[in-house]
Amino acid sequence: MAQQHLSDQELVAHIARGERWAFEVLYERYVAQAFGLALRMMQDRATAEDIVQEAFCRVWQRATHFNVQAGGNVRAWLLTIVHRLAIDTQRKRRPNVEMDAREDADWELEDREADVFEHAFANIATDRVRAAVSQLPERHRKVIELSFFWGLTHREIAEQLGEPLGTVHSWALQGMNRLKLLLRQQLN
Amino acid sequence: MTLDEQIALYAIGALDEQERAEFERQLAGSPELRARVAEERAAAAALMLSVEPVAPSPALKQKVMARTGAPIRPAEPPRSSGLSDWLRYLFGGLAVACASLALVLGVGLLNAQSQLTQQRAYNAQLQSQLQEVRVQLDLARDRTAQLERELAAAQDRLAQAEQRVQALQADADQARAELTAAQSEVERVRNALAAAENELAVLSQRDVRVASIPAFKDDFRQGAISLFYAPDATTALITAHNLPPLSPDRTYQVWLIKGDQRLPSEVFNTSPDGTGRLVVKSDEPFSAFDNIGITVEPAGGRPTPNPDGPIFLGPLG
Repeated sequence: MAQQHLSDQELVAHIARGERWAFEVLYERYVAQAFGLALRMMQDRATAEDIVQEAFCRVWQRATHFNVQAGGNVRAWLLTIVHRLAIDTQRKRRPNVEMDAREDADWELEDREADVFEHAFANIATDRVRAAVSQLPERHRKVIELSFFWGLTHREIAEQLGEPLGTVHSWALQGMNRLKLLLRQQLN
Repeated sequence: MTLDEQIALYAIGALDEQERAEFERQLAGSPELRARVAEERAAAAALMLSVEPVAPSPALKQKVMARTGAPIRPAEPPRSSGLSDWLRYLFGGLAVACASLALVLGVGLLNAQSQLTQQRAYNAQLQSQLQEVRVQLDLARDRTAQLERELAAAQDRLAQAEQRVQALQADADQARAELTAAQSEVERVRNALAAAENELAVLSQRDVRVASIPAFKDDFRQGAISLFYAPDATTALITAHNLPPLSPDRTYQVWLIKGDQRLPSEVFNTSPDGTGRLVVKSDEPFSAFDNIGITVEPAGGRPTPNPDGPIFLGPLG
């Protein structure tokens, strides 16, 4: 297909003008990564597909709000939406979990959250991110992953790991410091 | 929770709803804090890039396109080649038949590719599930190892506590034995004191006299019995020296003699060195008695004297 060479930003600019071929190209480009993330978080193909479907629909609806001029990261934007939808779904499934009060808030939140990817970390190659994550100490990685991928709060993580709350706080802090260090090393 | 910990937990989405709301209020008023959080969240969000891609079902694309109103791009029609035109020209119907056969084969190939794609997707799903199972298994192993360490530590503490309890028990046993010995010693001293007080009371009476009671039998000639008494008193002190020790089933017994009456009085045994002291009590003043005698009797004494007669016998002067 001739349009395959277009950048993500260019595709989103076309999508914002209602050009559906661009949307289809973007879908083919990132659906596997979006679905992989949703499946990792939900452990259920049907729910993961529902989430990916919803995420792409929001990309279609919100493309005009995406800041193409600022060089926003489209892949990160999409994955952030997938992540957010998956976290909301996980929390709805768990009893006694207070739901996010912003659940029905404007979806501009996702647009803003995607801004975090303006940071250089968003441009690291996937295999380098994996390399950095694999070097994290096991307990630090678990705390980060249980929260980030499983949507657990620090109290739930402490309960699941059987560790004191203060220990979980400490591991989260050490894990994040270590992750940033490793990502910077990968950048260099 | 420190501010750094709050930032880390917020970045990975681990704060509770209330905590997050409070933290975001701080965040709103602090550009510096927002900058720190942005880097932290970028690092956490980079985790999304670490996930393996997995192909969804082909039906998903149809659903997405249907919801967005984007039509699915039809397959491009096969381009007409010069060769097929030439074949159609040369062979007419045969060329059409060949083209039909090629179409059937092509559809079959597409079906096979579709199945292969689905199989790959299924395999990828299994890989993903396997990865999650491994993560859970790692968690369980870590937890088990931790519990085993805690159990071992608890067992060590228990063993140490048991040792301490045993040591304390031994100390308590020793202290109890020492206490018993001390109580016995106190009792012994108290008895000795009481006896000494009784003896002193006898010796402190007015008109105290001493009567030496002679041996009545030859076997006891080396012994000496003395009686300290006041005629008007009802208590007296008997001292013994060089009396042969008796077997445990026998005892010395004092008899107060008035006329034909032999009134049983106290019993006593001597120390290993043959000495002994004894306070004797009477219902009547000692001036009422004529003699005093000592016999050897079965342990505990008897109401009537040994028929073998006294071993010491003497008058009260």
